[in-house]
Amino acid sequence: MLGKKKTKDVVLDALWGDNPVFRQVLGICSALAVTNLVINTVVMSVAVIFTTALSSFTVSLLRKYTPRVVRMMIETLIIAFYVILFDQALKAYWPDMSRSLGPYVGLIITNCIIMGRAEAFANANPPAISFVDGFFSGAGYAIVLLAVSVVRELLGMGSILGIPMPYFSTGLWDRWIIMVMPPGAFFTLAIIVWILRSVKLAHEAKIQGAKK
Amino acid sequence: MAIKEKAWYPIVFMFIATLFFSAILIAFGSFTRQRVQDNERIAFERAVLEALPIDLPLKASPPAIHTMYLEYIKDSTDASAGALRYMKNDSLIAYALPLEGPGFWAQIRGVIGIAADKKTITGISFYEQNETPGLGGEIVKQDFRNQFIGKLLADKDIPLEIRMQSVLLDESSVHAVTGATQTSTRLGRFMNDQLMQWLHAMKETN
Amino acid sequence: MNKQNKPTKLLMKQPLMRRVIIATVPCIIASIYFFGWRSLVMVIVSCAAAFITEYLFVRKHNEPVSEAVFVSAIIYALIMPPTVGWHVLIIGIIFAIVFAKMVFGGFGRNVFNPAMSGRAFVYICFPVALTATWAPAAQGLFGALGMWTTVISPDAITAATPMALVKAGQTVPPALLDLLIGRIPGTMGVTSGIAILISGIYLFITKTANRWIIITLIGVYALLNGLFSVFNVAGVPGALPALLGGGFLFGAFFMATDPISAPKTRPAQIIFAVIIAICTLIIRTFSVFNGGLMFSILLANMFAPILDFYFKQRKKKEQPQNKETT
Repeated sequence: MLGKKKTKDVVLDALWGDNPVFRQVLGICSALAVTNLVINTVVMSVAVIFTTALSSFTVSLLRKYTPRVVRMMIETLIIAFYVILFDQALKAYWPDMSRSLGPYVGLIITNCIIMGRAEAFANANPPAISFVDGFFSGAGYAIVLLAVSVVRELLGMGSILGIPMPYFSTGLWDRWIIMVMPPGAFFTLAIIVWILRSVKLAHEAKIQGAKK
Repeated sequence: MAIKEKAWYPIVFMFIATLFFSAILIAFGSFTRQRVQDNERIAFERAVLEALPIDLPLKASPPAIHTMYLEYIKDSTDASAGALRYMKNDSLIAYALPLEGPGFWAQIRGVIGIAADKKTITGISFYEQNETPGLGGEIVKQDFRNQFIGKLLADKDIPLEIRMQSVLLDESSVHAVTGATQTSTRLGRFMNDQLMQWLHAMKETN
Repeated sequence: MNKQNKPTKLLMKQPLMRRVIIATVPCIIASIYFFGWRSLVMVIVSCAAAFITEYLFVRKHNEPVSEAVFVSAIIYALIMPPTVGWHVLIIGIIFAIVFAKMVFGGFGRNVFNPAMSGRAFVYICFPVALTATWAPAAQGLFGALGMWTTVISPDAITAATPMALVKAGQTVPPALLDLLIGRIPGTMGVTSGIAILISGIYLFITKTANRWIIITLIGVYALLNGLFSVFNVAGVPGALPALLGGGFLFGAFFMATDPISAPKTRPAQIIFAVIIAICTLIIRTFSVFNGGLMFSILLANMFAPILDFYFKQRKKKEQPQNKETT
């Protein structure tokens, strides 16, 4: 993190250039666990965006006062704080969702994206831009997860967000049971990462070609 | 910045930070605790009502469920061997036996309703499960649960069998969820164990 | 003559794989005889889908398509139920070639047997299509030679294969003679013990398939089944029916011996076969799945590289020492 980055670059990097899931391959565990239904993924994504944005913000706010030796402990504390807050709110106000996400909201604490952003960015940048970086890193994670979950729910259940889709919800479509099971996530995620990386490589080759 | 180099500074800083964040969490936790408990209570009460021959509106509000529960459901007694009792006009209509056991991913908790004859099933419902959505998760769907209504407990080691799709049914068996062999096998196992226990206990006490 | 002008040929010449393809012929004939001409079309469709898939991958590097792809495709088709939908058949073989073969780097580099991976994928993905309905085998001298499929009406579909029935403990296993001839419901090419034995002997004599794996696998599996049935473990039908039922022989001759995914050193091959035999027995007897052999081969595939590695290392260690002493 040498020098100051522009907001636009931060946003683009988080969403595309350095996307946490398909570029850095972080946060894969939850990508596999919560993508069987689109609605679960949406809630999970909101939780991750909420946590990365606010924890990056808070870490950045405290960065000048935090002694280096306890830096990681403070970061974990802050992340855990926001995750528990979200988890409790979900338990109290949306019990059905809380039940269907099971332990995975709590496990956001161990999501490497959040710790990664705190360490790599928030520690060395002012609060406002850290918030933006955290927010869009979470969003970058959300986009890939949503793509996985749309494929999985459509092929596995014949619906999207619980709404039956034409053709896929009829007898013409043989539901792909494996898609609702965890292995389905492995294959879907792998294929999506494959496609996105190929697109990115082609894109970069084009830019380089133009430069020459 | 000299203060930052002092040996005690990290400890004090950590202590204050922990205190601050924990205080907020504890405050928020105690603020929502009642609600969380109520949610769990209502989920259970809804499951009990659903397992019994009671007309429960599909979108019944939590207070409505609670009122109905208080009106009809009486706690278990020694004579009901751990099952809740469904009373109407002082006569016993059915028992609601809570079930609990390991599913494919996590614990499954549910309620099975048994009529006063201790033989006819009035329904089954689940209030806690984490089975695979679309597969084992289908046990909470009407298609699967409605099969149980009217089945008779057999006088065998397995009072209420969950059979594979390919095997024909009789008056005391239901079909498993297609493709969810694990969930169905495990559910069948603990449900029958607990039904057997209950039937035994009922025989002994009465 | 024209071929030489092209940078590469379309197909890689692989005599070993050709022999395997020849060996599958009796099984294909048996499947046509018992289940109708749809079986043959299934084999062809499977081959076409597999060839196109591999071609799309190798085209970029100007490499030829391996003939092994047809072996995978034929074997995969032969272990499908004869009634299975076309989409299931095609999805499975595409999955097999892409995820079990090409992502590992193509021919010669795959860890798992492609046919088995494809079958495992559709087995989990479409459990109903693969386990709930079975076509009956045609009766009479000419079998199903005049038919497209033996499923004439929906009622003609039977509920379970002999393996599934034995597992459910509901009927006595079918007569050994039926198992041997193959006039039973089951997956297309593997119901007939005789056809598989003819193929198997061809593979065995021409040394196309590894003899050590075949002998160890069949021997250990028969022994274990014999022992278990002596002790009356529920669900174990005894040595002979176990060998003849559920496509075990087919798996032993064609899939456990796959030269790519099986180990290359002899002690490793023997351990590999023992792992398959034990796992198959355990899965068939104690689990909810019927596809015991399929999962066992995939499991054992995982051990193959490390077994090879271990025995090669040991050999390396021993050789210098021997030289010193002599």
